[in-house]
Amino acid sequence: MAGKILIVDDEPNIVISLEFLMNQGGYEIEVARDGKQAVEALDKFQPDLVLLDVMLPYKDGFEICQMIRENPKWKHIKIVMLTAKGREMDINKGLALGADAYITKPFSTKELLEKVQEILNNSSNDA
Amino acid sequence: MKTQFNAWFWFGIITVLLFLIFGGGAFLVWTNLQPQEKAYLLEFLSHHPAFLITPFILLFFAFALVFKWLMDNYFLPLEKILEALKIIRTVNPSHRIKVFTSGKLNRLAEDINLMASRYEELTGRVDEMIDSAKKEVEEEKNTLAALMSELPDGVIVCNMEGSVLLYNQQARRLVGNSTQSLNQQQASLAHPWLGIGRSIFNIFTKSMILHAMNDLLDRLQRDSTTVTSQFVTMVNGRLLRVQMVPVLDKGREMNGFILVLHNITREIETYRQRDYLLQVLMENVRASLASIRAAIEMIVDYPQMDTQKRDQFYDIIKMEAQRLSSELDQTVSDFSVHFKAQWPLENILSSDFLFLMQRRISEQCQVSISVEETDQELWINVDSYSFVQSCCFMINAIKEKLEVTEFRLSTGKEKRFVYIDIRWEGPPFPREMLASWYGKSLLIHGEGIPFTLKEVLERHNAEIWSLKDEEQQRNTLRIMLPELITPTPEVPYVKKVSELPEEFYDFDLFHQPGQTEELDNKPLSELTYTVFDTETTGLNPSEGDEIISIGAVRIVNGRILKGEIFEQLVNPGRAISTSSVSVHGIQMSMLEGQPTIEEVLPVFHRYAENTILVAHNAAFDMRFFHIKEEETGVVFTNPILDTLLLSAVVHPNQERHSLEAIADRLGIPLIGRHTAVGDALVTAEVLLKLIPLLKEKGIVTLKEAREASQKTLYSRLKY
Repeated sequence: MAGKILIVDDEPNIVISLEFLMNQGGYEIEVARDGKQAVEALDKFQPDLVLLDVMLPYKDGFEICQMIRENPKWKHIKIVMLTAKGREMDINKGLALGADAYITKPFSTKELLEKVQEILNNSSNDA
Repeated sequence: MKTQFNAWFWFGIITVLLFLIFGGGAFLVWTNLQPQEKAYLLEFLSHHPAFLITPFILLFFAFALVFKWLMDNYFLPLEKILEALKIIRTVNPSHRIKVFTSGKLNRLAEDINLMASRYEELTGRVDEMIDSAKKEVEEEKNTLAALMSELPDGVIVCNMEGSVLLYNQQARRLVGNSTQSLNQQQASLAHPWLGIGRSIFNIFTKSMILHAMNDLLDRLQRDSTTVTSQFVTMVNGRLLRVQMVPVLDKGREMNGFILVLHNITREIETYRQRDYLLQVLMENVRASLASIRAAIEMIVDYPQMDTQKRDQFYDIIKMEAQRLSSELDQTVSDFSVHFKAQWPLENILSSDFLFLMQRRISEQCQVSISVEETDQELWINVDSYSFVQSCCFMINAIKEKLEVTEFRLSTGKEKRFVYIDIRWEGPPFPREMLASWYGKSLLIHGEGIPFTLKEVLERHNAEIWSLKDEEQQRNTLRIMLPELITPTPEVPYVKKVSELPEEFYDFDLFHQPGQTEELDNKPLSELTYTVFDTETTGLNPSEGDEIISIGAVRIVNGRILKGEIFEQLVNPGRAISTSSVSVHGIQMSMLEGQPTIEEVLPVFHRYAENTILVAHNAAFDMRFFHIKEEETGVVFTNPILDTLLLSAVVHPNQERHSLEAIADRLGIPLIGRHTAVGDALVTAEVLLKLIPLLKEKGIVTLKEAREASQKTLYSRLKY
């Protein structure tokens, strides 16, 4: 089943691939290039899942992750963190702040797509 | 004064006695007379009273004259002789009695002077023996101090109370310098004070030291194999790693500790920057790789995509790959800066170095290298790895460009430089080739170090050029290095005894009682003093005269610490009277730009903290300080001793107690008088000589000295 995905990343070169990939997966896409745009898009676009980079202008990914989890109206939104911060500490932090998955760059696009599908399917089963 | 008073008192008593004897005699005669004889006598005396009074008056004056003569010629000189004898016997064997007029005493004085000369000679010989015995012990101490001064780390030795017993220059440099003059560096106002006998808690927080001490005691109790404790702290903007090691006595009881200080500011900064570089590199590489990988996977996984989209992905791959290489280059060049910071050089004989080059270069470049032997001992200071790598790089380039496979290495000396020549026969060496090498990284087949030839040469203060001998087709590349005149020998260099500043150690402080004990009951010989003097614009502080110079020295355990002198000129903010200029020679122009008394007093206060203040005629100097109390907020609560008063206590029969007179009496040479520091030094020596003399008078503790001072006549002197 299809869903809405918000891609939050300031690197255009990875955004192009992610957009194409998720389109191919049949999802509706919206892109935010920084922390501010991301917060706006959360309200306007109401995504089911957010692909979230950590290093962003204005607000970093960890902060956005925490914001989503603290707001009850965004409770259903799934979060996949997608970042170049590969230390174990960063992974711990992301998961502790409520991310559903933490994927370090570089990653396999196939696995990413599968992960996204898995998470969205689980959530629709729950609902 | 006292002696004279005593003498006149006895004179009075003897006079009264004499009158009593005469009176008694007269009374006896009177009672044995017949009544008519009595009447006759009364009759006679009432007509001629002079017969009764004159003998008495004459007798009295004759007696007074005799007594006065005896006083001046025997009793007072005798007292002086006694005092002089005491001086000779105790502090100054070369002191002599001034010769008097009276015959016998004159001979006595001369004989005593003769004896004194004998005595001086004798004590001199004994002193020599003691000195030579002491010398051995001193030398051992000096060896220790010398070893400490050669250590690259700062070392401070303390007793259990936290008083500093010993430190080296490195320690002083690491925590700040107490003798630094204010105007040199205003920041010294905030410097912690490191000095012998001073508390270590001036420098390190008390709780930190106590924690480390408890740690050591714990380890000692557990018989731990590593009895050291360590902490890191910030002192004066420097990050120091401090290691504490216990000083153990024979019974393995801790009776002090040693602190080893190591400056890790730079180290930590380098680590931090290196970590940061590495992290940035990793994150950027991950990001670029992610973009590349995702793009490639899109192209591969979705072959049906249109060409425009495909081209977009190709562009991404190209762009990110380029970004990746420039990222790597950037990191390598950033990294070399940090690597250079820890780029140590070592001392090596240039001939040994040639053999090292021969082995490594022939291996790495596959060329044949021969070495011309030399007997010259030439030392150079190099990082052998990067230096050999540089030569290797050049030889490899020559081999590839000019097809030369045989090289000769030689070394020699030219002026103050050592050269290393790389020579070969063959086609001439194109000069532009050398220039093209400078900026190149020294990588051979991708191996080596991330430096350019230029950087290596700069690090070694070296230069390179080429020489040509066209007829014989001989080429030379000459590398010039500065010659190392005094290479570090393998055995640590120990300074000669005389080169050592003597005040850097004082082991007797180990026996110092705790700070908590009442100062008043401490013997004078065990107190810590700040002996100071001031120069002023004039004599009347209440009429606006000001301090223009403060000089001070510290006495710890009976030793003057000449390495911890306080010397500071002060801008008085007013003119100096000409009469005072003639005393101290300080001109107004010398005081311009100097700090004001408001700035200097707090620093001096800190310098004198926890010590006894001593000055000659201290009341005078203290008046100047007291007047400034309100303005500066600095109040000197230290106990005060005055050498003028103490001298009067010791020698009440000497009329003169000026600093010159006392110094002369006690055999102290007068040097640098009428500079604040010069006078402070003389005063300090006077104090040290007075302490044993006071002891003979039964004045041992600070309290006793203060009370005795108060009693003397001079303390009534007020400015």
